[in-house]
Amino acid sequence: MSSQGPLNLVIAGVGGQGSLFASQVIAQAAVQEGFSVRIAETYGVTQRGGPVYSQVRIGHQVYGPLIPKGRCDLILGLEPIETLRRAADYLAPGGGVAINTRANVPLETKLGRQPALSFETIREELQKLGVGELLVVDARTMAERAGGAASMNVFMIGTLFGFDIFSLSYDSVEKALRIITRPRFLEGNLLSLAKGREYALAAKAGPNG
Amino acid sequence: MKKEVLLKDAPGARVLVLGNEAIARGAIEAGVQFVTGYPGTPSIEIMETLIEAAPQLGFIAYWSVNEKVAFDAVTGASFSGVRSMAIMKHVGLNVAVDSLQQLKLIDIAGGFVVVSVDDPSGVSSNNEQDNRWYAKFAGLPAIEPTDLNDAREMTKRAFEISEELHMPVILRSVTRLGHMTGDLELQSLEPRREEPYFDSSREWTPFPCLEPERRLRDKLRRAGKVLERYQLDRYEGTGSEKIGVVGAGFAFNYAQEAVDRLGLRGKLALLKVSTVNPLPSKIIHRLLSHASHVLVVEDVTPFLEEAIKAEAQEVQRPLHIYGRKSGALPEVGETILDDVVSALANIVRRESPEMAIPEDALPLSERAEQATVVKKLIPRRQIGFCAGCSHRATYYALTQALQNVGIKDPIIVGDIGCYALGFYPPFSILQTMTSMGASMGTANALAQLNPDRKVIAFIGDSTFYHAGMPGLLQIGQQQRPVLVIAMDNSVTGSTGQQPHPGTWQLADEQTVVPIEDIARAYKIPHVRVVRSLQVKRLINELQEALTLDVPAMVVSRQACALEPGERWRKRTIVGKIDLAKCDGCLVCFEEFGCPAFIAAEEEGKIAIDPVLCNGCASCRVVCPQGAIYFERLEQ
Repeated sequence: MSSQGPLNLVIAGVGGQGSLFASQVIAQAAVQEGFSVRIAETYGVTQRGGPVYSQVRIGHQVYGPLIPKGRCDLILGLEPIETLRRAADYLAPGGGVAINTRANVPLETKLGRQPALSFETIREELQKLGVGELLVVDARTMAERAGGAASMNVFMIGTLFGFDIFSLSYDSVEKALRIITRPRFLEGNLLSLAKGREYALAAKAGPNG
Repeated sequence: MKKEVLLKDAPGARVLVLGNEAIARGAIEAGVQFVTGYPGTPSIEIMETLIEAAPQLGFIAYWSVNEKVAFDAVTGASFSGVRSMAIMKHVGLNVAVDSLQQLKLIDIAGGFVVVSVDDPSGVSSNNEQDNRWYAKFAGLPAIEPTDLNDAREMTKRAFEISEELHMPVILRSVTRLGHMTGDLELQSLEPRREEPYFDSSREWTPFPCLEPERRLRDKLRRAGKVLERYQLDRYEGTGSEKIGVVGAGFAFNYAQEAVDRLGLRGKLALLKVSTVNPLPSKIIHRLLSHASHVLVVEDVTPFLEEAIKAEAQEVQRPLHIYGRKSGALPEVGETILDDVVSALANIVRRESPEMAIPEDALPLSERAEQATVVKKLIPRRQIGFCAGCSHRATYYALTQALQNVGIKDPIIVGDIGCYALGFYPPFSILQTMTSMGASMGTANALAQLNPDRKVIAFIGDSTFYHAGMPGLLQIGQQQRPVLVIAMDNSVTGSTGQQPHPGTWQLADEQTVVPIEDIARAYKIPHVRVVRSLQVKRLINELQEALTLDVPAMVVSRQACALEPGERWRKRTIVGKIDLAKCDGCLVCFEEFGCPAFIAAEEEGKIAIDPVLCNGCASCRVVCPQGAIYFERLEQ
């Protein structure tokens, strides 16, 4: 969104977590603010539990939807393993990451057929990749306490307000949410959005922020 | 309707849509009256939007049995004088080309647009294929949009061009445009609607040869001028730049972004080429009149690069054309911005070193190595059949039946659809797969040439109706002892559950033509229909069919688990594993592999995820210990 070019945002998760919904909310908010938006989604054999990610680019002038490798300003990590997978390719040196700690561990890993990946390793690897601001949150638990487990993705959107580079206003994201959410989920989503922002701002102000 | 606004006469409204929806909107704004196609990713959402819009706006839209049937139907619509459109993916056009090659010679009436969505990198396909060559091959006008507004606009222009020249126009798009979401500005809807009328006073045929061929050449010459008038191509330059960058259709985005990233806007000439055929020579010569080094950015093949190279022959000075052919850009795969940035930076450094290139704009080369190292730590996620999918049960049943009958070296032929996942674990059972419906003809010859081995062909329902029928007819006619297993999940599953002639869920609206009726008519002597999820019965039926020395078909039938009626079906039972019986052998995971299998709390044992389990109960037969059972859900 700067004069340098568009804001490059990647949303990483597994099928069923609502990454597609999250990209639509952010895009809708950006359009309301007069920005141009381009999103590339993974299509085809995406299913529950399979890896999915969206590339979202917001700016005054956006050409294609694809983010060049190592040029992503911000990653919205709905699942930690998938966050690292996309960060490996896309994260820009100094780029921000909001990461949910609750992992969706593949069965083969659980059965010991392939090595496990601890959250601490993920954090270390993100550091090696040159992550800037890193916001770590057990979003599933936080969402359960706010608008319900299904609103985890919206809670995570809320945490983006803790990053300076994310310049969309809270009002326009809330308005986008009102446009896109099905009525029976709206109350929960609005609550989780507020709690997500609250969490991020508190984390930022806190001693480790 | 998902996006109601796409139907509204709301000029100026800015909406978030997919590229495919932008094309659909273009057709709506153009007043399209007849649309059909065959489902192929990445083109689906164009038809789906139009099918939803049709009843409200009063036009005709439906899924056809295959692309040729769709193309021929659109031919009939155009002959009736209405604006009509045929929609398909790149390989779909292969199926319709026989008709295309005839129709191009006939003066059509209503505007006829063929939408071809190509799939660079084969994201949802087995091949890359550049359908711009079809335009050149057939001698038809073709255009390709760069962006969402372009897509809407060019769809409208395509109808106008088609009507002006009385010939079909190809609109070429690509996956990345079709599946890109972005902001589109709407324009007003065209009020025009023609009353369909077929003029019997003239002959609608290319016969006799040569005269229509001559007419086609004349039309093509005229097409160049007509297309020029629409100004689909754009030149940005002063007429003195030494270096030029050309982008074809969607790839123009990469050209622009690379120029901007290197800070070279205004220092290089830029050319957007959206006219595919005939080549927009005038604007290309404008660039070639001053630029000595030209980088051509395009998806799939060096179509434009070669054409510009040929044009360059006419320029009386040394010219260097770079692209996929010259080796400046990769020969295969979707265009990647970083590749364009590197290629352009190389040319600029060599030819115009005085232009400073900011170092930080260049691709981060060390990042790629770092990414490879990190990715080694990251666990794979296996993709497989959905919970409740009938294909898993069918492959499992065949594996068991082959073991029970003692067939060790069967030849197993696959076809196009979700069931192509049979190439991967846990089944890894398929041995060949080529094009839609090819399993039938291939299996027939394999059986003839390998008489000592059992040949088994898998074909999905939609694929069978699409192009499998003629091949089965041949098997029936020659009475070759092939076992055909029809994987019938009642919809075109892999593309999103579109209906076809066997979709019994639509029995109120259409006549259903079951696969088994066709097989019997084609003289297949042994035809059985089994419910896929009744795995034991299925194993028995397959065992019997495997021992026959005549053509046989087993229809394994169960609605796709994602088919809307199935998806919203209330489960009555859910799977459980009796951990007292489970001995941790993992046979269920290794031989069946349902995504609802999760790790049990007790280490080394399996549990069933109560949310993911679809209650299909097909896994019950898999456990050697009989530990899998199903519990009634409280309603």
